[in-house]
Amino acid sequence: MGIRLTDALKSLLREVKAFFLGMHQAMIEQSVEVLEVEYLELEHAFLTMVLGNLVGLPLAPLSIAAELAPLLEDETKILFSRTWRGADSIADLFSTMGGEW
Amino acid sequence: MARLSVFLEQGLERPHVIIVMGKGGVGKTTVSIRIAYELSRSGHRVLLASLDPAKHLLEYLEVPKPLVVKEVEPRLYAVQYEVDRYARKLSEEYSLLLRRLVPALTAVSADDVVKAIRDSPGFEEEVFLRILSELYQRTDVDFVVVDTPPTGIALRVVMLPRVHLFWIRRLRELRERIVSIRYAIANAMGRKEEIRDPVLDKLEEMEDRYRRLWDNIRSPKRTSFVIVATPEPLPIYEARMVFDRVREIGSRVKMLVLNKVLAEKASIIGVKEVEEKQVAEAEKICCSTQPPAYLALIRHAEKPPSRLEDVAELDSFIEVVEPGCR
Repeated sequence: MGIRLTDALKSLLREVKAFFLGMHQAMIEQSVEVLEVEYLELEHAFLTMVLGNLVGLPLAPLSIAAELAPLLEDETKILFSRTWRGADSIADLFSTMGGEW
Repeated sequence: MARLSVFLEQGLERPHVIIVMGKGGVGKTTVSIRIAYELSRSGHRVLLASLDPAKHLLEYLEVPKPLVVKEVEPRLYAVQYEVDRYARKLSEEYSLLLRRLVPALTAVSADDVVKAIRDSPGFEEEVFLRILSELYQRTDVDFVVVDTPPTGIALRVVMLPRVHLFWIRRLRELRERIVSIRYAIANAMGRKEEIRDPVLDKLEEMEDRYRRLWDNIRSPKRTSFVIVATPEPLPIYEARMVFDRVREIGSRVKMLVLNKVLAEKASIIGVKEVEEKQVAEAEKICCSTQPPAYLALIRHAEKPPSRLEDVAELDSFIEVVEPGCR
């Protein structure tokens, strides 16, 4: 009887702990989501400032863009694929807002 | 010997770069050769670099072809830069990079891409800036005399590092935020994230490089600006504009050279008054900077100088005058 009570208590405590850990993780992920949106926007702003010349915006001088471009190869590919995906950027926006749409 | 190089004060840092500017056709190449010649004769190692697309240097000093350094006198080396060829090389590099980043561009022929980049606004200035930046790094000579393209483009090149620094600083601020957020996200999610960012490192290196170039251009110890004009209203007007712009960047012009001064011959063709007025104006311009710039007059020669020997024999034609304010 005593043993069963102890087991039940232990299990309850485990559940409570898992609940709080889950809550904690959810809170972290929620706040990180906000950071991630800002991070993506900053990345876009940075790439547009550097490579805007390529899409016709008179921005950073060509030599600066050319020096930085090789280091931004991966980001550039993402930027161009997003640009050319067109309508999908709306989907991107909705997915960053979370929830069911 | 009448010396144009009298403006060079003591305690200059080496290599000291002398930038000779002026309107097209006023005699920038003649003045550049003369200054370089005087300095080499005084025992200095001098590189005379012409960026002027008119390429008079090839003919004056019998340099066989562009980009070949010729020792024309003991210690005097001359090179004619060919912007076209340099620009082609650079635009090819850029277009290769572009095509790697945007493979769709392979549909466009390579020549078109190279041409489009080469004709882009600001590209020529970019090429000149690269050459100028390389010239500041020469450690094998004491002086570099730069014969520049006509005023407008030369001034834009000199200002360019400031524009670049503006961009680099803005990009750096933004990149720092990106890196810190990326680190914060990784940290919160328990991921390992490298704190160093290659793009941020590159931006720091670029800022350092352009700041050094900008400081060198503005420092009277590293750079001397010499303006050449003829005693006519438009070249003098342009000279005043250059004085103002150089002052604006925090430096000063050290000498104004008036070339093809007719002096007594002016009255024969009835331009005495115009010339005297322009010489007086030139004196005023020299006094507009602190300390005042030197004013040098080169009298008009029957046979315009077209070889090193002619330039070497200009002695009796050169007069360095002290403007009233000196």
